[in-house]
Formats: sequence, C-alpha cells, structure tokens
Amino acid sequence: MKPLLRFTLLFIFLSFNKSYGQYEFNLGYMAPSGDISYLLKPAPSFEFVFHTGDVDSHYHFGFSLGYCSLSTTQDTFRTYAVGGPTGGVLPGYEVIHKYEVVPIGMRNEFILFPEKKLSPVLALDLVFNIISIDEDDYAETFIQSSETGDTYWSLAILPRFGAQYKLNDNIVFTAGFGRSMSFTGTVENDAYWKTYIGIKYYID
Amino acid sequence: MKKTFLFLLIFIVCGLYWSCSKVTYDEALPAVQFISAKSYGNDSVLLTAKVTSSGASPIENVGFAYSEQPYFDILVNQIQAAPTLGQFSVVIKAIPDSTYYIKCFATNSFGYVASGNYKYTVPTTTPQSAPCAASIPANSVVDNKATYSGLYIYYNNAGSTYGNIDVNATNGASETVDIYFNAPPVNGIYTTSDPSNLSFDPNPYDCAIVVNNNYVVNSGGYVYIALGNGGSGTITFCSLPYVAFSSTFFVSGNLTY
Repeated sequence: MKPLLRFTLLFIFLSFNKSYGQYEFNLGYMAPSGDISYLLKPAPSFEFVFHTGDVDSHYHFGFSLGYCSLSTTQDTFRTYAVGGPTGGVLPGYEVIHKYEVVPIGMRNEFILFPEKKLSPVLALDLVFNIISIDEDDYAETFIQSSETGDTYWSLAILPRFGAQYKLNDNIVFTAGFGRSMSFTGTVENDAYWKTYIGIKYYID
Repeated sequence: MKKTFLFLLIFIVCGLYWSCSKVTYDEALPAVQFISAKSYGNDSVLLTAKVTSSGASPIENVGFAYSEQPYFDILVNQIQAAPTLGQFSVVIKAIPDSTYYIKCFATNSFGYVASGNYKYTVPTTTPQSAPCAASIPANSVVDNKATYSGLYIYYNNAGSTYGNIDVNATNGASETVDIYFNAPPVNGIYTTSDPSNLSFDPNPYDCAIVVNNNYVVNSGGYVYIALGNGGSGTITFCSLPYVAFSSTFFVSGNLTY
C-alpha cells in the first residue's frame, strides 16, 4: 500500500497548492476489456484530477485519483481445481462479492488548439490500479475459502483521445475515451475502456 | 465548428458504444458435445465427445465422468483424455446389461463445462465357450494331461478370500480348482489376473484361478462364461499355464455350477 500512500499525499499536496493550474472532475464509464470483460460488467466511475499548466498551454501534466466498483456478469462462476485426493479435475465455483478499482494516474495531456473554444485532446497516462476483491472459492474436496479485501495491483498505460470545450478562461468541459492496458502487476490481462465527461476549473 | 463538434460527439458516442459491447461468461467457457458410446470389445465401452469451441482461452482438460446413478458431478469415475480442440475418446470398463449415465467435460482458464447425461445400456453379451470345451468332459479338469472328473462344484456368492464370488471345484485331496470373480460372472470372456489384487481391480472381466489351493494361473489367460437357466453357468478354459515346483503346467476345465 506504500505507493498508494505516496501518490495520495502528492495529490493532496498539489491540490492545495493553488499556485498550480487546474482542478478537474470526471464522471466516467469503465468497461472491462479482454479477459476480464467476461467476468465483470461495465460500471460508472469518477475521478479527481489536478493538472499543471494554464488554460492556453498545449501540455498539461497532472495526477488523478479515481474509484470504480464493478459488478460481476453472473452470480457464480464455474471454476475448478486440479489435484486433491484423486488428482483429477475438481468441480467448484467462485463467487465475487466485491470488485473495486482505485486508479491512481500520472497524466500527460496535449491540447491541440488551446487558443480555440473547441479542441481535440491527446493523452497518454500511466495508471497504477489498486484492486480490492471479496470472494468465495470452492473446489470439491479441495478448496473452501472466503477472502475479504484481497488486494491486487497492476500498472497500465492509458492512451486517451477526446475533446475540450472552453466556456471561458476558468471553465472547460471535457469528454473522451481511452483504453487502460496493464503491462505488469498481480492481475493478468487487466484492461478497461474508459469513457468520460468532465469539467475543469482553472485557477486565475 | 459545428461539423467538428458533431464529429467529436459521434466519435465519443461510438467509443461509448464500442466499450459497452457485451460479452457473456458462457462465451468464455469451452463448448463440449457428447458424440457416442459404443461397445468396445468384451468388457468395455468406447466414449467419444467433441470440443466444439475452446472459448476465450486454450483448452486445459477434457474427459468423461460416469455413474450408474443419474445425479453425479464430473468428479465421479472421472477419466481424462489429452486436452484438445476437436474429438476425443476414452475406453471405460463396463458390465453388460448395466446402464450408465455419462457426461463429458472440458475446462479452460475461465472454468469448466459439462454436457448433460448420456444414458447408455451396455448390451447383453452372448454366452462364450472355450475352443477346447468340446474335448473336455463335463465337470472335469485336465491338469498336466491328467483328467479329473466327477468334481464337486459349488458356487459361493457369499464372498471369498480374494474376490466377492468364487466357484470351487474339488474331488477331495487330488484336485481343487478355485475361480475367483470380483462380481457375479456374466456371459463373456474373462482374463486371468493376480488374485491378491482382484478385489481392488476395477475391470469387471478379470478373474483369478488357483489350482490345488497354492498355484496361481498366470495372468492373461482367457476364461469363458456361458450362463444357463436358474442361476447356473458353465466355465470353460483351455491350457492355462501355472508354475509349480519351478515347472510350468497347464490346466483346462469345463465346469458347470
């Protein structure tokens, strides 16, 4: 949990330091992709972001902290184990009661036309996902366990594409989508589509 | 500007739709289909099934489970085949006239699927006689070229030393032949095996013969069973080897119990 603590402290520090640029709040829709899309349903998410840079600069750097609680595609998964007294395939099941993701991101945004009201936005974020799971596992004659708060992590890149609409020098609306793709961690093939709308507030 | 805005809106809506395309857990699992159960030789059934889809990850295990009861899971009498996408087969030992319920199953990293029950009744086997049966007098044993007739033969279904059932043929001190089965014998051809393992032997068509209480007939010989009326049966066998006093002798028999 140390990386989470460090990111959170940095985020809080930057958030209170008003000499830097902007705050952003995003409402999103996080859709599991790849292998986990068979197990988890898309769900709403939200995210707080703090950016550097002013409203007319091309490049914005920042940190984000989000949350999403995903539900499963079905109540019970027909899992199995191999081994036990017979050494065979042991039928079982898995029930996931809770699957929560806390993405902590380092954001790199490029505003193509910051001087215009409407501008495309390209971004490449680095995201550290903390995943907390409550689950029951059972395999006949072999496994019977109930785990609460099992924590896993993954490190992912999140290329994004979107647009922003500048209402005035203080308020900017944003929208876009991207795909978070993990490349290391304790969760395999962890990938999400993220679609979001948000509002940025620039401090004068 | 309006066109740009419209383009971006469409782009984002498409992205949202794309990200929400739904897949189901069942699509991630393999799909398996039971193809057939066929009699295979005298004492076996050949089971065939097919993995029609590996699902969202490679196949890890395939196999069958079977029971004489209709409600069972894939752990019961499980027998596995080499993991494959496509057809796979295994041979199981089975008793004639018995009904079996059979499932096939396949697994991948997402879980397992099992087919519904396939009900199969093993056909009745025809009575079998040894090739030499006609040359051996009824209720006689030919041991080391000497013929022992007038044997007293009894069928013991109350359990025996090795298996559950034995047929004992004796004429007193000069000749005794014990034939052990791990279930009541049925029509067909049995194979001799080690009597000490018989009660643990899953093959219903294994039997054991012990001559004169000491000498075990070598494994791999054939013993023929022809059931009669009223619970009777005839056991015939030809020149089965056994070792006594470092020499090999041969025993044949034609015994009706």
